[in-house]
Amino acid sequence: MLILLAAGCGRDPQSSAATPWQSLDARPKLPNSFIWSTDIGRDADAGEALRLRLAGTTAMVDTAIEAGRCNVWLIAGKDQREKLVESAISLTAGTTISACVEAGLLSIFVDGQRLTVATLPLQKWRSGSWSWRPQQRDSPALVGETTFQKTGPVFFDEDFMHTENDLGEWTVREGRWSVVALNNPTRSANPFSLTSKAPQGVITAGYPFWRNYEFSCAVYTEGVVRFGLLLCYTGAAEYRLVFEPGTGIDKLILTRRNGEQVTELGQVEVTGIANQWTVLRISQFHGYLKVWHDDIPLMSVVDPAPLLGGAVGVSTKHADSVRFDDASVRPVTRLDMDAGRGDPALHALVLANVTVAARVESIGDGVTLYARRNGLGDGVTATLKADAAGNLQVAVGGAAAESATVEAPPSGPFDLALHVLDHDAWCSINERIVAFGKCGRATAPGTAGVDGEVIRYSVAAATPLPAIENRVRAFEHEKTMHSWSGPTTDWFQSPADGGKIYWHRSDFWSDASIEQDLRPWTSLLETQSIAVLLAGETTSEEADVIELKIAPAKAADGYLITLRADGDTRSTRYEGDTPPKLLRLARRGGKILAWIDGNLWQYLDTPESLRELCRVGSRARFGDDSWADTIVIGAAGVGSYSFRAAPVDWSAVAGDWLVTNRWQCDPRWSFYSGYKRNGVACNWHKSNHGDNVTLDFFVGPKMQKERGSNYEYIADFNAVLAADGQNVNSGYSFMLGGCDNTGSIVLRGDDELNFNGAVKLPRVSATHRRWFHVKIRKHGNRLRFWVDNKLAGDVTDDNPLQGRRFGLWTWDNGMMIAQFRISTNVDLETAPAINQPPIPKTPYDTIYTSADAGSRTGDRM
Amino acid sequence: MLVLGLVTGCSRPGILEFESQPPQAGIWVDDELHGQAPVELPPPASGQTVHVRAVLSGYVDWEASYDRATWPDEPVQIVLQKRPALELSITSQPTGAIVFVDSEQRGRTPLTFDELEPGSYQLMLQLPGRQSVRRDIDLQASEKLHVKLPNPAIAMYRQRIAENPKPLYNYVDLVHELMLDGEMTDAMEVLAAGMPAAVAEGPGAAKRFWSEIDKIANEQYEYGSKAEVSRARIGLQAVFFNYKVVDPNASSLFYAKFTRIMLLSGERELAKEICLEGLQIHGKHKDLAKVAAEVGVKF
Repeated sequence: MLILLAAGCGRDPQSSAATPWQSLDARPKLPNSFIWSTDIGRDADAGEALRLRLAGTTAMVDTAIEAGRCNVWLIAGKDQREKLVESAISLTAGTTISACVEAGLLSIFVDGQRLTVATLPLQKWRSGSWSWRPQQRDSPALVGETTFQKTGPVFFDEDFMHTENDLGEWTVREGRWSVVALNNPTRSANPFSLTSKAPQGVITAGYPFWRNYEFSCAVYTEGVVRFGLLLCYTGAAEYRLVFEPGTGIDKLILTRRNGEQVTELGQVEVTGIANQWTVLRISQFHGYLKVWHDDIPLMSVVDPAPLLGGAVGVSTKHADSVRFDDASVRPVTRLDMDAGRGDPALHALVLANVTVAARVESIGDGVTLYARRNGLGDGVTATLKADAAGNLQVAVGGAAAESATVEAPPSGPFDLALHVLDHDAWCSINERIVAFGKCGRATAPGTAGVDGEVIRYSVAAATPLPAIENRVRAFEHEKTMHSWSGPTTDWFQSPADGGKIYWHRSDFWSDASIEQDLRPWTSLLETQSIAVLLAGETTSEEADVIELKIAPAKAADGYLITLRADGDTRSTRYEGDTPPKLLRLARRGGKILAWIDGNLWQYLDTPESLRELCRVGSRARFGDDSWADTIVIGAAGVGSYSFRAAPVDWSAVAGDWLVTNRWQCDPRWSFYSGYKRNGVACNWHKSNHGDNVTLDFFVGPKMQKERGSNYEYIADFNAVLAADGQNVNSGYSFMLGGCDNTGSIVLRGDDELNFNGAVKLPRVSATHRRWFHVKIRKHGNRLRFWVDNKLAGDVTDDNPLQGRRFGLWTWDNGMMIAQFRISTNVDLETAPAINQPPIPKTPYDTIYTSADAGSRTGDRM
Repeated sequence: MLVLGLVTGCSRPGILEFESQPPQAGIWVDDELHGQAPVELPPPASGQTVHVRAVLSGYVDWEASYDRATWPDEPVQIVLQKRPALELSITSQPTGAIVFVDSEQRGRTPLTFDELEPGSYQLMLQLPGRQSVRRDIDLQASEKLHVKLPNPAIAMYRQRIAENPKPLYNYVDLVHELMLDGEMTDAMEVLAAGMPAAVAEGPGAAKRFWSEIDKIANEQYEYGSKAEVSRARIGLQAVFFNYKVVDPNASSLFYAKFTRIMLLSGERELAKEICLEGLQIHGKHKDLAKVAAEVGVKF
């Protein structure tokens, strides 16, 4: 609302003109975001004023500092002036005043700490100037220097792949720091990390103008030791998150330091940090500070006077006892709002592709989620309300929102979400998509939020399903490694349809997508077709297959695109000399979705055959292996590891789990490994799996030539699932070469469910370079176990175990893990840390003693 | 609203309405905002020239200058021209890099945006195992952008060699990374730099060095075309020829490898010559004896 200037509500800088304004720094062109600072050279006299003026397209903003007040005015036209904020301020010698302009927001800082913040219209600020109005024409200069700094989203990644003495972009502030690494480590997992070589150390990376970011860093501590993460570090000020070990209770304490003044902002108890790789994350977005440990949110605080910005850093008080790895800085692209809907921070999150999710108690007069709102009338909305007949209606889209009647959610609070991605929008209730719409002309980034009563809501950048990791590039060209990292290792060729069909080796239990880049295949598409496929768990190649296919149009120019699903076929002609760039087929939110060039073309309900297990495939005759590089698989509920980053998702509880060399004869090749002589090596994943889960991994023996040159010792490449996360024998164990390599065994706790003496580890010299592919699937109460794509076990347990933890283990041996993948029907979220027994119990503690070794007979497969 | 004034028979410029299509453009007079169209503007004072601008996001600015003589006598209808949507195509080496535009993840390379407004964008390309690359672009016309994401291992090994030139394995690993990156010329330069030490250290200590040469020659790397295989072998030939010039008495293993590369390159006669040279220097050493039999040299 505009108000006309009224007396008594702050002086209008236009109205008092004892002396003319003198320009200090004028800029005819401004970037999208910037910090513009001015240093005050002396104490201001009464009547002196400073002004920052920004000129946009349909508005001007004046920030006027005089008479002990800082007023921000929005000027929409002649005599149309609205005071946005007013704060007390003093212009004293040595003070630095900074104006930070970002999309939709102007923040004023005094000596690096925020004084006030004003919400601005979303528009480009085209020009601006700092001006000074002296008390008298000959007054000495009030301002020393103005500085201008363009700002923007902050991205920074550091895996410390440096030489020992090269700290890259890091600056030592205190102590001595060094990079630690295996020798010759590049053809391998990545074992580089950073450590302090002095008892007290601080090291930072970044710049004073880094603002509003999220900093995460992997940490490994040997013992219970103190360390910290720094945010917005400038030397004079910082946020510091310190891990403070205590007697029985460890804490994370968050403080803000500005000069000598240290303010505690919050603290929280924490477990599971010592003696394992773990990841801490902290974000600061316009005063909203949030802390995560292993992706579990631990602490949220609002700093009413946030710091302007600065570098990231780490600190420790113990030499050689803490290692830091995989430091990452990213822009904040998610806000969770329990309250404070009008908070300026929310106005600053300007996104194009966005998910607005709300917890709704009741529909009441209707709830609207919005995105891409820009103040010019553009926007995308999802409005849920009851019509006159009491039916629930949802309208989704841009200006021409499409309305649909939807089934009412079950009584009680429910989740309502608006997803806006490129040209399309859809609405989901309790994670099931209920309606679609087009964004129309609302294509540009804008604000997002909620109109109507909700319990809480969040705004987050929407991204496609995360692409699953396929290969490790350092091995792609190593033919000896192709068994697990070759161009098409992830794919199995089907004998059906003349060998044109390839199925991806992974199972998908949650949302999944397959995207085919058609650009390299323009010539092929002149005569042949290319299709992407989805299928459930079927033995027939064609039954229940959903196919999105492009083929040259017969008897006409262009192409014919066909979606065949659930007995239905839908087609469209694609005109043009060249085919579309991309085809994408997905199972998402209970729907099957088909896109052409990023435009949602068709959607339908997911057929019964695809409700649980989903496989993805490709059908074409490409001619060489390069096709695999033109397909991207995205999936939820999947964790894929080649251990090039610190293993922060794993909790090694027994044995040595670290990156080591596989071959004693050649130190180049290193992988993540578990090793233990005369006992168990066990490594739990930190997440829970769901009812349905698939583990698959490539595993090889750790060379121990002192135990035999022909691998006479190898055994027990084992995995466990449905366990309690403490003892191996609480879950199902799948043992390749179990019981001293008598066969492959499936156990329920200590009870043998299945034994297959035909599938063993070959104790021969040729095993030296072999990788074994193990795949384990739990589908409800059915358990299956494959080794190198051959079924090694298939059992049904009428009383399935209810544990949710999974892991890897071996016994008196070493196993190298080149790649590991978990896929399940829930999101992989870190489970709360649990107390661990000194040594986890395994089946070998009870029924399988060494006396059993070699005595097994009776193949039950 | 048009206001006309008649004073002593002369028409004087009056307050004038400025409208815009689309509506609500910001109407600026010199550096002051008068409001959003439609707005009424007073005429310029005598002897004054005013600069009027109509500004709307997504449209080309409309501008005009007026003095009293040129001040229109009818409402001004400003029709703003939409800025053309621009295309930005982004490719990268290696391909598949995640592309962030401003702070949002928008896809993977190769990626094309076809409806961008002119203006400045901050791009970030990220790929695991690669250094992220940031590009600030001021997009005023459609553009194609190709970004190479540096391999940090290459910088690391170069630095290791600079700090301590002796260990051969650093040369080997640097060559490996360069070959993976398709930087064949650089890889050959590194092989040449390591060759003196490899020859001096003998087959045991330099095993990985010779093994890397075998890999390059034997197509362990996937070159993508026969021409690239040929280029790699010609590069190796140059490394060996050049070294033989400075060290004609190089080891028997050197001559054996050299002979095999020439053989793989289809240069049987040259291979024979080189093998013979080696045999003349070193006698029937086991390395040379085996390759001599392959190439058909009797000594």
